[in-house]
Amino acid sequence: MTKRTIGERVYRQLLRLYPRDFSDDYADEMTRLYRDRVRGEGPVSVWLALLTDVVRTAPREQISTLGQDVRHAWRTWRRTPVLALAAILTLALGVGANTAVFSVVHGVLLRPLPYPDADRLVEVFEDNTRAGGGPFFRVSLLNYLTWVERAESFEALAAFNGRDFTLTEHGDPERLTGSAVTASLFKVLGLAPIAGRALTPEDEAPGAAPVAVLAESLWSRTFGRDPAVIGRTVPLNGVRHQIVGIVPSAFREIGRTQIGSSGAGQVFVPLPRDTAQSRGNHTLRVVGRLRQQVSLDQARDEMRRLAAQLEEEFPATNRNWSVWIERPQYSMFDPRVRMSLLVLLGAVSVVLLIACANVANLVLARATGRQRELAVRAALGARPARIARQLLTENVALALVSGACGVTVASLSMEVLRTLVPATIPRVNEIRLDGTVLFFGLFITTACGVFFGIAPAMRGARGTLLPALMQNGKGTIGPAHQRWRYGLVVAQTGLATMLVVLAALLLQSLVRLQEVPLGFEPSGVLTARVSPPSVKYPDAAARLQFQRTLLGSLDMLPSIRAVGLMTSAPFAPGVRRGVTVHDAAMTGGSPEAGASALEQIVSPGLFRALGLPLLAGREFGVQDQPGSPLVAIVSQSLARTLWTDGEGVGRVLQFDGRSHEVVGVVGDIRGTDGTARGGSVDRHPSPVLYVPSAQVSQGTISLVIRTDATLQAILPAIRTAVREIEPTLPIPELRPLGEWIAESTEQARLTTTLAGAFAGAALFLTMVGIYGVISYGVGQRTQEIGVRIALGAHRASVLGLVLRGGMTWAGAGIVLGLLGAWSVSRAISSLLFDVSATDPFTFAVIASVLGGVGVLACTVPAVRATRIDPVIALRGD
Amino acid sequence: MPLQGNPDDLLPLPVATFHILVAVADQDRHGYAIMQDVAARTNGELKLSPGTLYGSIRRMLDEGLIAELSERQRPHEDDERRRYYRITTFGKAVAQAEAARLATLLRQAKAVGLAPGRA
Repeated sequence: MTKRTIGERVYRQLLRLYPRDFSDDYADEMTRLYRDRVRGEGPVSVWLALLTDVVRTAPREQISTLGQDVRHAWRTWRRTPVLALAAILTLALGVGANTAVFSVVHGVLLRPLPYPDADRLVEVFEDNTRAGGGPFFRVSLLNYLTWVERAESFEALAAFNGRDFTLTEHGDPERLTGSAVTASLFKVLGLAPIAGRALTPEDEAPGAAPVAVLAESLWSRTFGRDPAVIGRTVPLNGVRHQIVGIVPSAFREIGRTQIGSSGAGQVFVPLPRDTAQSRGNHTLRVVGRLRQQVSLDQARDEMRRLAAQLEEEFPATNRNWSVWIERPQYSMFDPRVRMSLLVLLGAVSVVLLIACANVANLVLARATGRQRELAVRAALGARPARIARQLLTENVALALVSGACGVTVASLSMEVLRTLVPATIPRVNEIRLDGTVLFFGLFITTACGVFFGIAPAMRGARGTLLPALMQNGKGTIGPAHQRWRYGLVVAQTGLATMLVVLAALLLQSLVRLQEVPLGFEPSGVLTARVSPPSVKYPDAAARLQFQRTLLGSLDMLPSIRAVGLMTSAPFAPGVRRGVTVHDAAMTGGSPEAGASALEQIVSPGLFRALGLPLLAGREFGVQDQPGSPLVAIVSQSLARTLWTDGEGVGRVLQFDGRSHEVVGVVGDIRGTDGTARGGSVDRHPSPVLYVPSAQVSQGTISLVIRTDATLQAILPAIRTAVREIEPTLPIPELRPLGEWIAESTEQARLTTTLAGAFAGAALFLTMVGIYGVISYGVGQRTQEIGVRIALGAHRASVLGLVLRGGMTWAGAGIVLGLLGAWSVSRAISSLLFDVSATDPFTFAVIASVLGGVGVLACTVPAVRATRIDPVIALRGD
Repeated sequence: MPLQGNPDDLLPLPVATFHILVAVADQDRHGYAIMQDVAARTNGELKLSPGTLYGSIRRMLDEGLIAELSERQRPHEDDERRRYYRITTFGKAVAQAEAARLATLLRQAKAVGLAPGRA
């Protein structure tokens, strides 16, 4: 053959773009053709034509080869429909569950917030860690104003505060949620109004005409998207507010709380600049937009320095208060929500891995059975690479079919999923199957196909199939092959063990969570938020009168056993104010040694309505009047923090600059910690300071009713009573307190249920997997076992032989799984309540459960082995 | 084994396939000869590119329309050991069926005056 020119060599390189067997077959021919044409037509025109030819036909040939492979895959899978169906179902479940869980993780945790340059948004908190209060406190107005003046890290800062509104425009008064916000909020979030204008600093000035901005959702629902609504005045809480603009409904959630006290914010009014209040009055949420080039850490440093300055300038209120800044994606979640989601994602991917191991076993068994077929193809001239490609295509095609089924199941389950995920988790409505989620599904599907397709493909590529022709038709398994299969048994038993241990820990935790004493008696208690219109009840005296009339008339209803008012009921949403209290006699007048507590303004009768035990002293009563000496009741833990003997009655407390005599001590209750939405069962009770509603005025209050009747039975009577007192008041949305408590453990329940379901699936798949491998092994050893029985082996010893073989591998998996669980379980300890992450009892029980499952899976093939008839087994060949 | 069923199942044939069948109908040819023959018969209007030519040849071998000659069957004067292709009986049947199909089509076109000549 003549020596190749440079052009020919380049052309041969290009021919590699065609499928391997095509270029193997025709590269020489095509090179000759190239040579002939260059002679005839000259290199330039030939090269132009050749390049377009390669670009046009190489992909076509690739696709055509793929098409052949897929058609072949379809034909071969159709020959073993049961096996194909089993593999598809197993994988489809795995992929579907993974896609569904990932869609939740993506929608809730990963997708950016719906604001421009959302990565520069931060939430700013006052940090009370040094005094034991944690880093996520609300901000006082005066501190916020000082920050706005001095902080340089931010393009803008904004403050807001949840607020309830009553709209009395159309017939029945309508209750709306919303916020009082600074005008800067619109700039911080980077959102322009869709109609009218946003709030401006002029709107915040004292004496400015009352204005309001509405959310798009309210505009659509109540005003039918009428543009003429801009400029109109509507009565909100009895005051006529001019509507100046409409903002998109996306303008809703940010950070640790939603803008608007609960659920979607619908009305936004300017935040009053009430600078007469104390600097220690922590009531505001603050968000900021970082300047470009300013990192989160730089902003944290600056704000900590600023907080240190303020500590020196205002020791009475700012001692031990620092500042903490967090990205909203982080701060908007209880860290445990993030942890739960990641744990679930981990759990569900373990299920997929186990499913893959099972399918890999099926495919390996099938490949062994097909050795003859493949060997015949190889003998007829198919190259090893071609066979490998064919086998890989077969398995990836199977995986893709399963993946499509799985993703379809996941997309159908989206609606269910959204209702299943507790509403207490932010951004639930953003859970959907978008491009990223689909890509994830496709990715894991392909990865699965490659995972279980690679081993048979490699065997095909090595060309080790030829010896199969010399064997009997059954195909035999080499030791390497068998090791693979037992390795899969070890891996899946280990993974299942880990998952079951984890689920068992979560389950115990949930059980303990539901048994924890709350400190009060929630059954038979109904609560509702009530806000009397501020126009009709402008001052403390009027509001007190309203509260007394309401309590008086409700108390008269026969089915109500007790009724009271408080700032916010435990576990229910509401604003909770943190205060610093101290006993001047103990601290020598210095507030530094004081304690942090949550303030609850309560009416007489509240403790009875809530079932909160009085431990010492007396409840508030008629003697506590606006003009009489100021009194307070402390919770037991607050008494213990303030006084070493824990005795509070008769002592004098200082807070808000005034002295209060402690007249009683009540028990601690859970569910009052300072989070935006109720509290959580697993947090220790916060110290609480109770003051009488006769002496401290408040607008919106929680009504607490103890009754023997059901909600439906009692509602008409309450409605009539409220109508008689104040016709413009919306009917309180009564809800059993138990529902709020259930909601607070809903997330733990969901995590546990799902983790339990995944663990169950893992256990089942593992059992099937062990069964498959062991019974396949028995099938392969039929002759050997037949010989043993013929030579006089007892059935029991045959049984033992198979069981021992299987359980050696399963046992190794269990041990590895326990070690794995031991090392990862500590990472989830934040999700566990009152259970040690390495609880030896749990580990021991789960080890024996898994052992039992292993024995069960081995027993069927072992019993079958004992029934082997030596005559038939030996005649088999 | 190549599939050999009903010739009509493969109709209509791709243009390149039909031309290649015509080129090898009267004598065995190698790739370059096929290319030249097609170009000559179409006055240079259809120049099969190497990718199209060998892609078609591969499919036609699979379908049993043509067969590759063994070394002994190749013409002795070819010192470059090129691969030669010969039309099979099945290939002939398919080419005839395609020609008949085209003829019918042409007749119909003539009948409505879309092509010169009389139907």
